[in-house]
Amino acid sequence: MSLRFNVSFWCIVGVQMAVLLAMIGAKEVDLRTGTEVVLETVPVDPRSLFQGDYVILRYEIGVSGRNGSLPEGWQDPIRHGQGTVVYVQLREAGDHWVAEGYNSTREGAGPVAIRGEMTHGGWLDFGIGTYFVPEGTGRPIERAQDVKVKVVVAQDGSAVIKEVLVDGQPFEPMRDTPETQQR
Amino acid sequence: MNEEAGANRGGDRGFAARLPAAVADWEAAGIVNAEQAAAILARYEDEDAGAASRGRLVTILVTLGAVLIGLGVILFFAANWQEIPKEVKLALMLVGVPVVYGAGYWARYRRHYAKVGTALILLAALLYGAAIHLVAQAYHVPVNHPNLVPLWFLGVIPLAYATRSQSVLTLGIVLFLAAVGFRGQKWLADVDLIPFLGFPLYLVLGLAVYSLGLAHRTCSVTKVFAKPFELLGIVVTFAGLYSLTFKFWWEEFAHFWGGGAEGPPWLDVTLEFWALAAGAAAVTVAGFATAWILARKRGSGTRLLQCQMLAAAVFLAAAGLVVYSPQIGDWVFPVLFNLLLLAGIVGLLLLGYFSGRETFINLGVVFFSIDLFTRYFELSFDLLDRSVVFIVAGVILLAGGFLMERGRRVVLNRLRTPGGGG
Repeated sequence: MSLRFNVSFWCIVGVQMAVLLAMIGAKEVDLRTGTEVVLETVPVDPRSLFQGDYVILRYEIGVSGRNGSLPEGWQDPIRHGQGTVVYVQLREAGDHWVAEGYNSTREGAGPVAIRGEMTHGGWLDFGIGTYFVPEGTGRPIERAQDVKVKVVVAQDGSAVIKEVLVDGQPFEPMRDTPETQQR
Repeated sequence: MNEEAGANRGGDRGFAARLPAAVADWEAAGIVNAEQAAAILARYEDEDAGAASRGRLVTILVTLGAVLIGLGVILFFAANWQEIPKEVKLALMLVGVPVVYGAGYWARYRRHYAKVGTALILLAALLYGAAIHLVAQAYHVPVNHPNLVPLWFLGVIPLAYATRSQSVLTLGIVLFLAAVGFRGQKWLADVDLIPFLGFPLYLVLGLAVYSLGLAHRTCSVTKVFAKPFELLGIVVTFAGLYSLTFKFWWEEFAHFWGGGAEGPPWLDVTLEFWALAAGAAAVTVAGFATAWILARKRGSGTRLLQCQMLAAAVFLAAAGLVVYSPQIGDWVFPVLFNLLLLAGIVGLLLLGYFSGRETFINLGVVFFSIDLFTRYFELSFDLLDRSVVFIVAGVILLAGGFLMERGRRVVLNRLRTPGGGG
């Protein structure tokens, strides 16, 4: 094989590895340098909250019609356009963080702000709506009354889930057994 | 002669390649007559076809093996991801993928096991995609995130061209089509719009992919890449046409249109959608134009190409009509697309016959069967008793299968006869 082929083949493999490293690096940098906040979740649909091996999470700060929710009219995806970027300014209030205000630019959204995108359903998607758990261990989250999520928010507003708090305690995955089901 | 034929069974491809010229010489010198020359060539054609068939079987087996291993690895990690320590996960991904690439490289380019080597490179490309999704999963990014499949596609497509591998290229094209679907989640604000924007988009994408196949075929260097583009282009184009033949989409749209909608439903579709649709249409035009110009330059016939260009123009116009005037009526489009699909199938069968491409004929037969059954169930399910529907369906299946198999065999035999098939 020619030198040119060898170089191009291994360069492509190298670029693929660089993509993987960049994905890992970007998330690790966010986790190490971002601001840690705890966000309240809202039940989506108790019957389908747990789907397969991941949990679907919705956040109070991004859902209309609740305390700290989107301002009037913002939930209309036709008027504001699906995919519209919204920065939610966050403020600490007791054991969790709440929405202080909504802004279309990062600069106007204060020191700690999380970036969301308007969805067709009229709620904000922060990119942290899925929490993966080992197969068959998600029932405690499904049954819990109080589910909060510890999230690390980077300066640019991107967020990474650090851990899920179930009834105030970090979630420990445990296989579903007849005993745990009765609990 | 028998010993020679037996020796040839060992795979002396040079002998098979030299034989037609040698037989022509023997015939010219009067050593054999025309009938004997034809008999000799037929005997070794069979030998050559047997070797090619065994080669295809090996390719299918090793490719299937690569795909199964890839799927198994993905499922294993997906099920046990949280239980594997983070360091092990990173090591497995960042070392495992290049190691498999290395094994493929070694097998294909150092040891000259072309089929196994290519299958290992395909496996590594699949594992690269698995690694992207597993890294995303490790940081709780949804696996349907719109950026993941495009990243996979961008890593695979240059690899396909560097290795000149049809199987890796097939993966790349499938990933491109899937990437459009994942990005499409963001572009199409309302799922109700998928039939009116998503299906026409895939119809145009299918044409673009097919035209790229034609463009690749015009040059000896790129000819090896033509087949995956052509076949996937045909499948996606016909799938797009087929999707638009269902009456209930248009009834739904009429309901939407008459239900006080504020304006045309495409108003809240993002610019990305229109850019991709326009880009795909432009690629279609450019692909056909390239093929036509180069065919003319070489002095080869362009009549078949002109027919394909006409068909592509009609399909593009029909896709445009759906997007720009979906309110035309709930019966116009089903009739139009059923006619277009039927005309397309007939065109595909004729194209296969005149160009000597058996795969096109087989695809035409498959699409005709699917369409026949769909229309049968669509029309008869509400009109007849369910038991009668299924009995008649079974009879159609058996009789239709027999007739199509016989027709297909006649056409293929004609193609395989010297001088047949234009």
